[in-house]
Amino acid sequence: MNNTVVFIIIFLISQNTMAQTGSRLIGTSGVTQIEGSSGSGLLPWATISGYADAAQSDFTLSYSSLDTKDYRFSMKSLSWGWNNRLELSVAKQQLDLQTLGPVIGIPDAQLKQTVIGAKLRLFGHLIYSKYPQVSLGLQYKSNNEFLVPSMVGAAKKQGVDVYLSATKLFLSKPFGFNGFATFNLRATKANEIGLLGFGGDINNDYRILVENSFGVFVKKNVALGFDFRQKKSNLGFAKESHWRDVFVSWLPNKHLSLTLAYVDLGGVATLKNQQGLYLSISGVF
Amino acid sequence: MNKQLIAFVLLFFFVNVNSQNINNQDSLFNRIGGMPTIERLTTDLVKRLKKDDKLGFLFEHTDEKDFQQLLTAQICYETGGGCQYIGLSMSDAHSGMDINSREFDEFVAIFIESMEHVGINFTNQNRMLKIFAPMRKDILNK
Repeated sequence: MNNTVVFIIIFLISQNTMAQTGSRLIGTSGVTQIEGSSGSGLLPWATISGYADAAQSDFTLSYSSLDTKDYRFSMKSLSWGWNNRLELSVAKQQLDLQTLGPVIGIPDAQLKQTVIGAKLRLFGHLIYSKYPQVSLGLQYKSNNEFLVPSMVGAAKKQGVDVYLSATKLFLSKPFGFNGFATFNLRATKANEIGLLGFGGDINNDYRILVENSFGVFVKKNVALGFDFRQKKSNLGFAKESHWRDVFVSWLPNKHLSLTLAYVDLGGVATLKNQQGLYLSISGVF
Repeated sequence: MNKQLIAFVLLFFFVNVNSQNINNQDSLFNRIGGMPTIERLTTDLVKRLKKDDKLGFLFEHTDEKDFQQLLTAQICYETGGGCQYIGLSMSDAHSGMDINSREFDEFVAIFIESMEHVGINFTNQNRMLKIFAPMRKDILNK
């Protein structure tokens, strides 16, 4: 199934390389983050997926995976960008518990979640306004399997994250390269971004968490950067760690992006030092 | 959370305040190779614009030579080459053309292709864009 998504992306790209894209400049699409929104590796940016400007729209299809010692994460997503104004997305996330599964007596245990996202650009333009581009986003998240989250004390299988995102591209800075920065505030009840449900035994209220991403385009179509995503614990059984990554994204053309990242998730559900390589591919059609 | 916010705000101001006011001997004009490069750039750019599917129509009645000379003078002036730009202001020059945001980005993409074509490196391309990007508000929807 996962291979199928990658195959479809490659097939569609091979059919579309000569086709017109939206008119925005290469890179302004961002790439697809772990919840299916336009952004970097771990967090959404204020960008709208794809390259559509006024009176245009396009789709972005993505597949991402991350392997740590004890977990395997994968995500497939589809998003629609319209007018450089609105983004709608749907993502399916899956986390294989290859170490914990046998421990809890469910050898093939998986956490699964669907994320439905909407993001509206409120004001500003990534490149051309002096102030950042600012967007408001929603992510409605729903666990497809609630057995494991309920076992560890999660209160609900559904939740809504709301985030405010500011992103700016700095032409020719620093040192002639084009820098970029994103700062987000997210209101959420999610446990491990929702894969372990929402709310729990030690907290059941919304919290405001900070996310940011900095980096630089070292070429027109190659970006290096890092992400930070703050996390807090609602569940007493294990403390959540902040998440970080360093990433490189390559956009050979406006139809394709590839991202490679080294991700540090810290401790996840009692298992410490979860680090690994993250790979993501997106096609824009 | 405060640390993160302060870091973001500081970065924002640092990169904005630290803008490139390069002094004359290290002007962008000299870095890109002076007048010969600009002449090649504008010649290539005008050719590309005229034959572009989406933008060609805007330059249908434009005299190629005049346009190229105006662009040359403007780029020379803006990059610190000491030329005088005698053309119209950006808003007057685009008056009645009703250029939209799609056409503007299309132009930027072609401008970048032209700069690549004449061998201007990536960092100097960005310095050029930095000079011309603020003119967008004077060009759109006139």
